[in-house]
Amino acid sequence: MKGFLFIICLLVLGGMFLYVFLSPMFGLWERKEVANYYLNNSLEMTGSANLVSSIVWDYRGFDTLGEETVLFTAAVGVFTIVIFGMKRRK
Amino acid sequence: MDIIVRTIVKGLFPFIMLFGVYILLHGHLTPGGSFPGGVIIASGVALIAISFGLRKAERVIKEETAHIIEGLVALLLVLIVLFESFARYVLMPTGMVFELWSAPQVLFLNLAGGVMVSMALILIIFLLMKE
Repeated sequence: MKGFLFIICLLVLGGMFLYVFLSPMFGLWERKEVANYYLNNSLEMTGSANLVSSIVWDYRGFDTLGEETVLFTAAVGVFTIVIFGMKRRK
Repeated sequence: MDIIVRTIVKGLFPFIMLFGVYILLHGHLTPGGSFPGGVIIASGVALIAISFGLRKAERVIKEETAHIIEGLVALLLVLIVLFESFARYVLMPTGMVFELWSAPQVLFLNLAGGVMVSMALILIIFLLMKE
């Protein structure tokens, strides 16, 4: 039973991956308006030649700011754990 | 560590740093950006820390300095994102495409984010090695 469920989950995941990878080939991408908007307008709006960078830091800057917050929190958390561990050992 | 590892790291360290800074500075022109550049810089310092020990790595950047830089750069990043339209239209207007000054906002955000990523990773490495 467990193996059966595992195989079904694997098939569903693989199907999703295949759909995402193969959809540009069969013209399914034409309906994605946001992607087309980025592709057409990002060079004039941001002036950056790298489309990924312009999306990450310009169109979705707040999202990336949250990502940086996650990193900052990770560093602070490691610092806290290490310092408290050192104090307790003394 | 071994003398082979030490010699290779000693020769390779400046080039790793140079490559990281290049990726940070050209994040808006070529593939790459803040996260890969910051991770490359942090990996250079991590190589020094692993092969030569923590004391030699603190000669590159001290732990207190890393704390201060990370806090200041985080503040700068939040300020740039908060006053985003002011920074875009008044401080740094866009220039010619494919030049270094073509998208100054993306450039500065890339730099700030990369420095923040590298400082966070360096801090994590230092603290875990000190433990």
